[in-house]
Amino acid sequence: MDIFGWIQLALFLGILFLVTKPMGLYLFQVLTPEGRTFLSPILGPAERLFYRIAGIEPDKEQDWKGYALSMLLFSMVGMLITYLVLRVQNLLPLNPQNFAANSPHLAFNTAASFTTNTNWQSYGGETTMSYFSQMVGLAWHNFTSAAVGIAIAAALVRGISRATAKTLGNFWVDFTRVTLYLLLPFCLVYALFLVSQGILQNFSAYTAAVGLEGGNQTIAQGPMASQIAIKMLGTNGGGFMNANAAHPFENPNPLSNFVQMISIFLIPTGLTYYLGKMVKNQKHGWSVWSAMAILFLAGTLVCWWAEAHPNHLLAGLGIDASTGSMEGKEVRFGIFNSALFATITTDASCGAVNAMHDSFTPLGGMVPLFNIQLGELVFGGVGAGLYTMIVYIVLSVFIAGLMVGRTPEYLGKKIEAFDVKMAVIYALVGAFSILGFSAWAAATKWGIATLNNSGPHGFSELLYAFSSGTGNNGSAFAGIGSNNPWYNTTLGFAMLIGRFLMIIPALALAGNLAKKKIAAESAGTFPVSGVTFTLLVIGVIVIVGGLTFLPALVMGPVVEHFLMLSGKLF
Amino acid sequence: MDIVYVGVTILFFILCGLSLRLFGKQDGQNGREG
Repeated sequence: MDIFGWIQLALFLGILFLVTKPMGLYLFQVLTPEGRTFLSPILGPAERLFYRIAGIEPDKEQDWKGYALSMLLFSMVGMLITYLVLRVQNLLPLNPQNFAANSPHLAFNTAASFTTNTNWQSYGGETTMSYFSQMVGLAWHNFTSAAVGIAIAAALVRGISRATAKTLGNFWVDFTRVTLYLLLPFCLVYALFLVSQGILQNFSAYTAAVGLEGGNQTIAQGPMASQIAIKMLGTNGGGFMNANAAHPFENPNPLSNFVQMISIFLIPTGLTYYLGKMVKNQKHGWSVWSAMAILFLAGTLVCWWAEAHPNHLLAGLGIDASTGSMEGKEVRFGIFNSALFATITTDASCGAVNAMHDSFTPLGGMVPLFNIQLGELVFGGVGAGLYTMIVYIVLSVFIAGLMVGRTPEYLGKKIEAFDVKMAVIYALVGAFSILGFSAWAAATKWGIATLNNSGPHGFSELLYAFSSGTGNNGSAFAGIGSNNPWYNTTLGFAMLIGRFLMIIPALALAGNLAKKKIAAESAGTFPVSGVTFTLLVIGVIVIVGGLTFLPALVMGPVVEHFLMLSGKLF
Repeated sequence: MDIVYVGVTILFFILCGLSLRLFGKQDGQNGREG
């Protein structure tokens, strides 16, 4: 844990803090249907033309059921189109390597994965997917699934900020504006920056080369920069290459690495300011930001500490342990940037990796795993992080209300039975999917046949897979072999459950909150800003996550850690 | 197998749609507990 790491951590947090307000203000302009951005003079005509062609009435708002139905229809059609593209990619253009069509189970898994913003990859991108599939089937979803997530967060925030309202906005308008004014222009500039750092952007066939040792090598090419920009900004995480951001073509140097980490949190951190502005209580927005920042720091420090103190058995093999646990890490990033990246990518639902999480120390690997299980609400996925955090805030004020014996309120809205039911369903769906599928995998030959390790590490691999799938993260404990019918199908369903069966109660909660009156503050109103509120939210998140997942974590990384100390490895 | 995967995908989304009706009926019960 050297001084350079501390300086980078301070720099990262400082920049994150500084971009929060401008990003939040821009999001406010984008997510206000009639809002004007600095791009409106250029893109406004395109927006209006799109509405006319698609038959969208931008002034017509939807109730929560209409909003949810539009989102479901859009996602279903998008998923089916991607399934089709992957199944016939051998017949489509931009396939210079003549890759075969995906198998049905891989196409299902991949289509579910990218539709749900997960980007779990049971395949190696450069050895499986044509350029057409990468761009039309996958990168397209990187934009649309991110826009869907931000739209849902905006709908929930409107539900909180509106009084006696029946509608939450228009899904098609939110989706269009986020894509047009936020994701596309930001990614255009971002991709050009990535190209300037040496990331590839071409349609060339792969290059055949002879290495220094005389062996033949195939060097992959392709339109990478454009895909990597949205992969990070949209917290998608699916790499063009199998090695993801550990590959020098995807993440060539410390600067590209630093910017990629910032870009994962850029929209989520802005959304906390957007929340504060919408509810006219900026202290609340900053309190939410503080809760996220504290959880982020805690995870980063634990992971960094664990990776800086490697397996003591390495010393017996004559390996210098002073540099930390470097297995599975890139030398150009080192311990700190690998630990920081792993924490960020799992605090958000990104899933891009610049080091192999499977090679982390048991406690170091537990941090990304637990981050995902907490719901990826530490800044979180674009949109998904904020709406998960709001669900936990509803649970927190409910618990606080129980403790002081008053009707719980959140920003003047009474929290009643239906609201708590939706929040609890939201929390239980994730736990049910992660633990249920993991138990099924652990108890059957299908689940354990393709693990890379035995014992608790093998259990961590399958627990991580279903946590990542359900949490729509997409990163993996890399040892697991998931490209088979059982894993592709079960993980596909875990991703669909973790996305849509959680969005629906979140939107139902939004619709119900929107209908309520906003009560005036009184002496008995629970404050939703300040230290007490921040600590309460952190406490509820950690306790709910801990109670739900601690038994499973004990069987995986915790027991592996103690067995490692006693000299037993897996 | 294509028909199976396409079929279960559509079925999943239909079930999601039906859950809207289920929750939609319940959210009319606001305020009774207040």
